[in-house]
Amino acid sequence: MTELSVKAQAVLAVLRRLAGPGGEVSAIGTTVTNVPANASQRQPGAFHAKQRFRVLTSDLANAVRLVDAAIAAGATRVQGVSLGMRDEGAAMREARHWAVCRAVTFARVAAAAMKVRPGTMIPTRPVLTVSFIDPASFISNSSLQRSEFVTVETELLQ
Amino acid sequence: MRVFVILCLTGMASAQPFLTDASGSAPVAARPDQVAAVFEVDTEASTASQAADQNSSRTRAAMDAARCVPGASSVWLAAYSLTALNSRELDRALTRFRSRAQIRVVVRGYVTDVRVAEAVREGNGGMAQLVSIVDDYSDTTAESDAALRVAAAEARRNLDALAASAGGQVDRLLSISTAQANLRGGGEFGVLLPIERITPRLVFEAPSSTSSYVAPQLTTLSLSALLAGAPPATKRPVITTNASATIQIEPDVADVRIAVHHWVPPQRPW
Repeated sequence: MTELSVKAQAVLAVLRRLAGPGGEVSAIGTTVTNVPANASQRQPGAFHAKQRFRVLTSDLANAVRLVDAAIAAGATRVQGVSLGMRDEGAAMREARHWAVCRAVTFARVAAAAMKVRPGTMIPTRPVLTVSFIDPASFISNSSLQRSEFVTVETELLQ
Repeated sequence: MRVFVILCLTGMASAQPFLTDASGSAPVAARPDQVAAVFEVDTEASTASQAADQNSSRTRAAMDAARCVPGASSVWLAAYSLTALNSRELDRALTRFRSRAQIRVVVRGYVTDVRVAEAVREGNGGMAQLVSIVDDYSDTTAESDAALRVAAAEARRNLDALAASAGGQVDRLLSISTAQANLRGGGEFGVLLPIERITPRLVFEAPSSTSSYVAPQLTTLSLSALLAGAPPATKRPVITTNASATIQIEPDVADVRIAVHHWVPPQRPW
């Protein structure tokens, strides 16, 4: 752990220096694992220690420079660089708005076809399911689209 | 038009059924009016910066070229990633990086029009690799609503027929629910299939090279109703609908994940 800590401090210092204005650097997990050499003979095994970091930076043009600098400082793994939005809320609200509008239109069309009337949207469960593409999915490409799937319940008036 | 029907009757502690369910479905009969293509720019280098810089310049050139394709209505960066190729080998230095960008291009026209397909294929300045090119739809709102009306009419006919076969008639609806199943296929090039042949089965059985023209969705409407003479409903009648929406975002933050590993080999116990 001591040796890991020395390496990790060096990497952390570089990440903090290069994260740019508004950049956020966080340690997101430390793990130490014992890997038995031979479990049946009860021999002690190797130890594997890992410290993970996450950097959020608005300096998109130089985000990849962080990777090279961190490797030069001792980082041994790159789990990925992905693009996203600092505040996903507005994008998700916009997607949800369009999804709900479409669902309500479906309700109106269905009601008209059945010769009944749609009432008010039932407020307890306007959105039952939200699907969300994780912007930080590492190995696969990070999608620059956001999707919402909604289920809407409306009163059925006859 | 192929219609799928689900029918059932529920008896309530007697031979007289009170509750009836039925449904009808219809494919959205839309004709594609645009071509959607996905290109990929893949670069590898010994440092992350080199891989990203090369990718950036090639992606920009490919997007500029795509915007010049006749009929191009939108060109955007759809996805981006950077990965270390030997990141799983803990005891080795990271010496190979891959940067990958996906560009989505939409062009007015038909994928079966060879001139459009070739223009799209060639319209990336030689900088990107074509991943897929398929028929696409700019707006299927009217067609979706029409399919829902067809499905509703079919569901209602089925409901009445089922009620009649049980010796009763529909008194009041308990629920209406709609659902849309995505039928889109993918492939290199599409072929135009008659709308009558479009079924979910065909979509999944079609070879990948000829599967792109299918109805975008199958709309289903399900009904639940009480028959005349049934006891009062205990639940409030509802209409349940669902829909999804996808929007393009403008990224304003990069999320970089880095790790430091340390490996201590086994120690002798004595």
